[in-house]
Amino acid sequence: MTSAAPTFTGTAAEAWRERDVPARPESYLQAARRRFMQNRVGLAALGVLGMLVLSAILAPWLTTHDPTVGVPAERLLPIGSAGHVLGTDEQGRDMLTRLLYGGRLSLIAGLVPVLIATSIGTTLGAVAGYLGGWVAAVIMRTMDMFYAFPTVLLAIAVSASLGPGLKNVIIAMTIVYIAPIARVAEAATRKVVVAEFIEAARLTGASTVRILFTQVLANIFSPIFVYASGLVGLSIVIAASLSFLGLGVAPPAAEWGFMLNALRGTIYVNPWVAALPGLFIFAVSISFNMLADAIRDALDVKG
Amino acid sequence: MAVFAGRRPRTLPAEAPTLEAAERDTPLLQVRDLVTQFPTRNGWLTAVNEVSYDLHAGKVLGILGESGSGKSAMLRTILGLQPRSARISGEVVLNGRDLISMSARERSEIRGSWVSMVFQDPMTALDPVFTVEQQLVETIRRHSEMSRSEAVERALELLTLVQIPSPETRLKAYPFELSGGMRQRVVIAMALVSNPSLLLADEPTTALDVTVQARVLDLFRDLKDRLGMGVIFVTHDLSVAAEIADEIAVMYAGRIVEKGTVAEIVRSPRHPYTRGLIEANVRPGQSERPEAIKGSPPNLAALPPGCSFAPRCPVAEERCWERIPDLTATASTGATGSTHLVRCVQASSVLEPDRRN
Amino acid sequence: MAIVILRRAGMAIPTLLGVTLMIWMLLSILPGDPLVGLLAPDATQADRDRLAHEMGLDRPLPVRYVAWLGETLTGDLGFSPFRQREVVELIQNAWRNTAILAGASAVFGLTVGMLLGTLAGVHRGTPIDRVVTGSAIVGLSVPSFWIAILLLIVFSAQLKWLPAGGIGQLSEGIVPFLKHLIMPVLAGSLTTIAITARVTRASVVETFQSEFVDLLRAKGLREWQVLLHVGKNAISPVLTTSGLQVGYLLGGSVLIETIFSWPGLGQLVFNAIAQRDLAVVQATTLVIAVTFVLLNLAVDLLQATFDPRIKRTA
Repeated sequence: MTSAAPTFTGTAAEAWRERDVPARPESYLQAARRRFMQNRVGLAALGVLGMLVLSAILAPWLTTHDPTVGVPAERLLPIGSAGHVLGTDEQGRDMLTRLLYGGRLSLIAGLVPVLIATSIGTTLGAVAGYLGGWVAAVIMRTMDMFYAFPTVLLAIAVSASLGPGLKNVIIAMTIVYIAPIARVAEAATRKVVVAEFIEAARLTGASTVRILFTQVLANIFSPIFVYASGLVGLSIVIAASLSFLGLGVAPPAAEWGFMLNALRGTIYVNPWVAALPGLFIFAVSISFNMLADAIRDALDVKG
Repeated sequence: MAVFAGRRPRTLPAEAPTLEAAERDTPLLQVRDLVTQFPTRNGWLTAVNEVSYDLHAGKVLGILGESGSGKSAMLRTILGLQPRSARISGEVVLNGRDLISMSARERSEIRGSWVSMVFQDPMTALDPVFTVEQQLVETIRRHSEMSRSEAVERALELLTLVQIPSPETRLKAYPFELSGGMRQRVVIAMALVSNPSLLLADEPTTALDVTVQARVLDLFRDLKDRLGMGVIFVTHDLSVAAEIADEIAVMYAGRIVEKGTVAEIVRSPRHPYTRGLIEANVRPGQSERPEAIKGSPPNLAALPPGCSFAPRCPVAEERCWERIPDLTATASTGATGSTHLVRCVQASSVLEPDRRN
Repeated sequence: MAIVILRRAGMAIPTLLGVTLMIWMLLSILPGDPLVGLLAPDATQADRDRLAHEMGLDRPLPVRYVAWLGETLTGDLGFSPFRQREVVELIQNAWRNTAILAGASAVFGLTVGMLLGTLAGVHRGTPIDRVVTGSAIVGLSVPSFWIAILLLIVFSAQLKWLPAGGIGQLSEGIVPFLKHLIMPVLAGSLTTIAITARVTRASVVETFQSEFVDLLRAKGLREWQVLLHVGKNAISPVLTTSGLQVGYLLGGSVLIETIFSWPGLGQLVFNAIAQRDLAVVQATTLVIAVTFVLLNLAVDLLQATFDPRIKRTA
């Protein structure tokens, strides 16, 4: 804001017009990336998750004890014991070892159902939303049936009828998540289908399948990704719940929910060791939930 | 006033001067150097910038401007509706009391009694889950000591005043059961509950159908004449402003850039922006399409160093870019009480009426 | 209003039928031999076929479903071969106990959640908001069965203030009854508090941004009056989530009741799963699911009383 007389005509105007305006506005994904990188909570959650996942993968190299065979003489050692930093369990197995190994099954049981259910649910929802009519009615009314059950109960019922085992836990939870993801996908697709670019694709003679897989999927990605990432935290807890109830892995395998149940009887003897597996479930779950919140904010999706 | 004799709200502060008692020359409302700023990631954004004007009782001031010109922000500042994070300075003196320095509690006493507001979109301005009667009665009882039945009677009277047919049944209706025009009349009725001395209208006809627009505008004029209120009428539509206002202030990028009587603004606009607005307006008998002002409305976060309009101005020169021009009386106003003000360094030369075209 | 009730109730009937079909399918068609626990280890194929015939398992599937549905509707939920009792009998007592626990958890969880959510919504952007929002994400992530165990460690094992499990009878006085209730309610309702607080906060914040709030303030209404208006407008999503929450409490009761030895439906299911007593699993799941559907119906109707648009247009 100079009040002095200018020496060159048009300098002020030129200077203003050439002020640091970005040459090209950033794309949606660039903006999302920038917003995510500015979210300290989200980054911290990602860091914690990275560490937990890595230590689960590298468990055989990070630990010195056998995860399944214990030393009976070293049963129920408290936290901080020599050679057993996090103590030992009721069979004298090293807790740190079992917790790291346990992460493998717990993370798989929590993540895999969300991944499978997301692909199936998205397909169902996108088909229903795109085609509408009786196809949509059949698909979506069937999905509604699943809503008549509380999530945990449905998972328990399916899992119970399939019989115990990690594979069955994964199947049961997949069934549980298909319906809500299909709903999100259907609503998002209906919003997209009326958009002009879909009409344009149709006019150029693209087939239904092609349009579904290119145009529609690309445009319903954000809401589904946000929803599914929000499910992971819950999924970890439900998977652990099923194991806790004895529906998951069989002994002597290590899995957090199962370990928590096994140590339940020792809370009067060695309380804080008994609480450890739950702490790990909680740490993973809250990290995923915080990460999901950060993703939602970054992608700028409501809900 | 006769219509409402004896209905002056009892909660009105005793020192409030009545309109009759006020000296004729003392304005109802004096706005001085009003500034409203909002915090943003990149510092303070100035939405209302050193706005000053007077409004006399029974007069209508039209505020004309595009979206983002600060006209609505200015109304909301007067009423104290800005978020707590906003930074506000200046004076808004109504009936001798400054609304800006007043406590929130005092201001809530004054809202709805001395000063009321009518909003742009009647579809969203009413609470959807309460009946018209509930919403009117709570307002009436907030500002008077009427019993419930007295208040209902008063509500009926107000609906009649704003010319709502069969008011008894409308009273029991929920907002979603009324048409847009009807809802806006309800909003207006709500604003008139305590016979305010100042009415703020934020584009009250913009969201309405054209035919309904005209009727609501008629209602405003009629009410202003009967109730003797001062009105600030914000609009982006020059023809609406010309129809209802006594004076017009044109706002651009938070500042008043020109102010004068309707005749002065419409017949001899001095600011290039005002001229643009008038040329963009369809006139009867005009054959070619009206020409809109080039460029986009100002980005308040990135204003040029000088005159805010310079980037879009057809006659801008280097000096326009250097400093913000003052709001000064035009030469043609003459020595007697200058009313026509303009914020343009070229107002006296380039834009003399005889030099147009 | 009567029409709204009838219409909504009518809409619940296909849902309920779907629920029965799904539960029946889950436990009748899915792999897993229903006879496995019933036969002696040395049973022959002939014994097997006879038992299957007695139980009607050799009939076509649709016939079996209709027959089962008919029995269910007349209150015959089957017989538990493991406990040698009618399933209805088993369920009646357990249902009452679960209702006490889930009801108490719902009342506590929803009330606290709504209060916290409103508090955060009204003071959005302030430290109060951040504390509530942060606590909510903790509550959302924490496994209820872990909290249950932590509570047991602290209040039962270490401090010895509260009993580790079981249900107190009201006839023995209110204090022991409540002492038994405290930990299960706290552990079970934590998620409810967290979700309700999040939904309430979001709804209150969104409602506060409505233009009608400006008009209410412009009318000079006091802030508490404005809050009443906002509350009535913001309640709808909170009610929806409340219905779901109570359902989740019923589902989650399996974990909580097992840990605290609370003799309710959840514990019944847990034991039945371990014994592969599918008749009990089926019946209990059915009772909980039907309760869930009816609860959501009730919430739907409650919503209509808050929102005139539903009341008058339906």
